[in-house]
Amino acid sequence: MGPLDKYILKEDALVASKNGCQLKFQSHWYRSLPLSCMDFNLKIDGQEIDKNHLKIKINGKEFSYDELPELDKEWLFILDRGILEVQTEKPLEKGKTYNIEFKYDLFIPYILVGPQGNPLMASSVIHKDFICQ
Amino acid sequence: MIKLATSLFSYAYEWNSGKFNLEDVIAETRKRDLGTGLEIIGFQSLRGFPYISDETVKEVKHLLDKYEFEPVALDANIDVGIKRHQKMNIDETVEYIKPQILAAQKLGFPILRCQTTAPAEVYRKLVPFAEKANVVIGIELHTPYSVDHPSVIKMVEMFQEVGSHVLGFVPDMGTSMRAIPDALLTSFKSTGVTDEMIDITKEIWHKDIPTPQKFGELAQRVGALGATPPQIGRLNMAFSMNGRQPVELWKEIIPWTVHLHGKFYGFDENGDEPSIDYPTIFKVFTEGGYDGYISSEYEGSAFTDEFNAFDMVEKQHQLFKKILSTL
Repeated sequence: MGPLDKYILKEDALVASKNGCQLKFQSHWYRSLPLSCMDFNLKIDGQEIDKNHLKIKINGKEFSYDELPELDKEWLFILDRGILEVQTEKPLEKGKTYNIEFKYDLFIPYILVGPQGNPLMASSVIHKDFICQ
Repeated sequence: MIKLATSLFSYAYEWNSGKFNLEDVIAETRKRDLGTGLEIIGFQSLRGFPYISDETVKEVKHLLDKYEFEPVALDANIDVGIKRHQKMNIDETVEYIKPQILAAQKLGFPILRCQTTAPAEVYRKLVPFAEKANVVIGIELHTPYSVDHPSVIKMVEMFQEVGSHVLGFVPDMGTSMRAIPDALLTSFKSTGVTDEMIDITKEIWHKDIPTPQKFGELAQRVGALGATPPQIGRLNMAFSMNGRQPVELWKEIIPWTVHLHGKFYGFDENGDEPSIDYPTIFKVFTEGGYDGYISSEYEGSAFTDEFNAFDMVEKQHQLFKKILSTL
């Protein structure tokens, strides 16, 4: 929810794939965080993608959504882009425009807030049209 | 005499664009003559941190040498909530910090900036390790951790008991501010926050009540004016980022001060920082015998993309040089 949101999804973020699409994302904090500190929610043309249909790829490795909270040693370097591998009913078409609503939550592990001292949640939402590459 | 440094944190907006590499930002810092010291955030600038490769070590040392910067501080992060649902215990936190101490040692940084997310006991346990590595643990006093905060009082007691040269503080000047920065308030307006809501925020900020109570009063009063939860969230930043500890209180911990963070938000037409009283800060620390570095830490990337961070750091250095010439 700040100026760094600008880099979350670049113009070429949405890419067609055999089973659906890929979404390439960059973090919106100023430093690298591991996957355990991240959460995602994605809607394509208003339709929410089931978390079972999401895979997360970083550093040449692939993980299921359910694995995220445990991946405290899998770092996404701040200048790298991760990939959401999305399975859709019908694969997205190259050259076509889609409305993307991407909610990207970061749980900041060194800023603890509230009575329980939980990690601060820094949430950003990108909602705009992308031409599928 | 206090010495000037720049923290690469300042360039977060430029850095995240991917248009600059490490040499670019260091070269620009030298070109603009932004001090003799450099501060680096491990998890921002160095891939694989804290397990950095020999090539990275060689590259950083080469760049510091080439652009004639003294390595001042390497910034660690004390990520006790990294597992999200389960916090690290004391021993796990100790082990999490050790490789960061080693990274500072390898890169030749004399100070590792640490954070108050770990209690005094963690740092007490790290003393033998830090002494062996000859790296000073510099615990940042970032708002709300002012000198009179219970956790900071415990740190001071531990410092006194242990009596080691590897324990110190890094006071952050965002802890002792005199006003909410105009640049921050202006950025709130882009979310539809009204002048009346801003006035209420300012009024509550000046009250001598605990921060959680301020959040509560703000939510109630601006909520009654129709502020939405995201707008209230933005206004809360004024309380979470801008501390109002009196500058004079720093005197109590100057003997343990190993480095300073020169946080800043913006400047008026005379080149002064209206929200942070730097003339008094330099006076208090100089009179207290502090002669280490102060690093520029531009906070802009958290709230505005209106200004070029290199220009902003340059303005702060002009201000600092002016103040130093009068001391």
